Amino acid sequence: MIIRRLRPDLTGKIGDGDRLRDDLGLDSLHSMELFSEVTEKYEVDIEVEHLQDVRTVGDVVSFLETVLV
Amino acid sequence: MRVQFIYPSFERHAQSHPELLKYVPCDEYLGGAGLGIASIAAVTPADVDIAFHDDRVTPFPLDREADLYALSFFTPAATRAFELADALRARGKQVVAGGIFPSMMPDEAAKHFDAVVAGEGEGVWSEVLADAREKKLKKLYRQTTPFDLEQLPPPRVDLYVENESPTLRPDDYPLQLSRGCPLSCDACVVPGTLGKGLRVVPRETVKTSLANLARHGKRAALTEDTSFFFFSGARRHFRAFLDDLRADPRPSHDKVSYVGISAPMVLSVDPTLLRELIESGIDRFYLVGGFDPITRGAFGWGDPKSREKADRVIDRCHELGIEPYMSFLVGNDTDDEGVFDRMLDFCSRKKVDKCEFAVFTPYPGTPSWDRLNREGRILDRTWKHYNDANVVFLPQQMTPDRLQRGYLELWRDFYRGRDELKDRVHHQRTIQF
Repeated sequence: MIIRRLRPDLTGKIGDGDRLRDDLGLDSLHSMELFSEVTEKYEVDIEVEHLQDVRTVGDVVSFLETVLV
Repeated sequence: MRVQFIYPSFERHAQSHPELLKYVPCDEYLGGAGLGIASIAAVTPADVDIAFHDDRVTPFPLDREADLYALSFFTPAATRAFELADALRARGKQVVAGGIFPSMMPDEAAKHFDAVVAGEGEGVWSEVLADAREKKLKKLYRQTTPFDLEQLPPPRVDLYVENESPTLRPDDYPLQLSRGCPLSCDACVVPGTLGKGLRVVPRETVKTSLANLARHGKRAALTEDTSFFFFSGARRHFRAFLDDLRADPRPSHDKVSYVGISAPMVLSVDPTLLRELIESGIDRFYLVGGFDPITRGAFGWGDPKSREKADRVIDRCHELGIEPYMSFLVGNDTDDEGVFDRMLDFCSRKKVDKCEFAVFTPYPGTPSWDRLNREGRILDRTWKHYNDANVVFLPQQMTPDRLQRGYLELWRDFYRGRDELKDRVHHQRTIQF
């Protein structure tokens, strides 16, 4: 839902394998906003360096699963 | 013991270029001193007598007696700070430097001062005072770990207010919500001076600081983009601040004069946060352009997609009922000579009411300073020229003269025929130049 709001022009299904930048067209500000909203929603505190390997939608989900455990 | 704090003067745009006073039919915004001195004063023990002098109001009288003279300054004020320090030391006085410039250029500052405090000063200040009492100041004091903001008292803004005069009576003073930033933006000095970890100022400290400003009839100026991000829970902290601001019974525009934000962030930030911001009484964005890829593309080379986004930033502000006060930057490496016309066209098309123009300046301590130094493109090391109004480096796509002329023509052409601005109420006719 957050990605849809950030990129209202996106059509079709968003899948785990979609790359945030290359497939979904999220620029750096979009990505910052995505992580800001996700971390607010799940009430977790993270830092920039934690996100270095997060490149796809699936990575975001996996990352959240890790920090929420 | 008596400590004399001094905030050295610096050239503002209209002092570097007096013709701006003729071009711009607005009142000049004169902001308060940076918070550095107010924060250090707040951690100074009660048995130390302190005094503050704003050198912008009247030149500091060198015969004023003190045991220690403490100057806090950023790059534009370094030239004047060195003059003052040299004169005071010639009289046998002890002089210490702190603030952004001494933190980033400690060796340069050390040529003129007995001691330099690099980075946050609160944690080393008691040691500086003890050494000054013994007349045994060290050349350099550097706090190795970030200062614990739980221990940070509210800044002594009262010192600044007491020092106001009819010629310098700021409407607002900065309100600090956090320190540090993990990003490495090209033109930003924050990670270099305050560290790469973001630390939030405790909510109660912010509330007290806000109440102090209210007591003095002052608005808060918020310039931290980082409040909108996730690092260290900064956004939750910001929402809590907005709750407290909403509870402040003062009329909307009396609480916060503006919130500084990188222009394209208006398009991406969570709409619920923007609504809370408006409900809390914030009605002006200080939109910073020229530091992000979107406004660089829109104005620098006329990229159509970026231009469309830049247009939407202004539309979005109007939809939200927030005044978009735009700050334009010229001289980026991506700017060709068409940048000036594109900015004026944008202002005309989007009916931008008021704005300001700045020349790209590679401040010491920023990634751009390092890069331009490496490339041999720094032309001028006269620090008072580092004030966003002078070309101190070799631009990539135009001559320095063309950039300087373009900057002045932007001011002239944007404000031409806008004499009606003079008749507006104070806060609607005041801009920074």
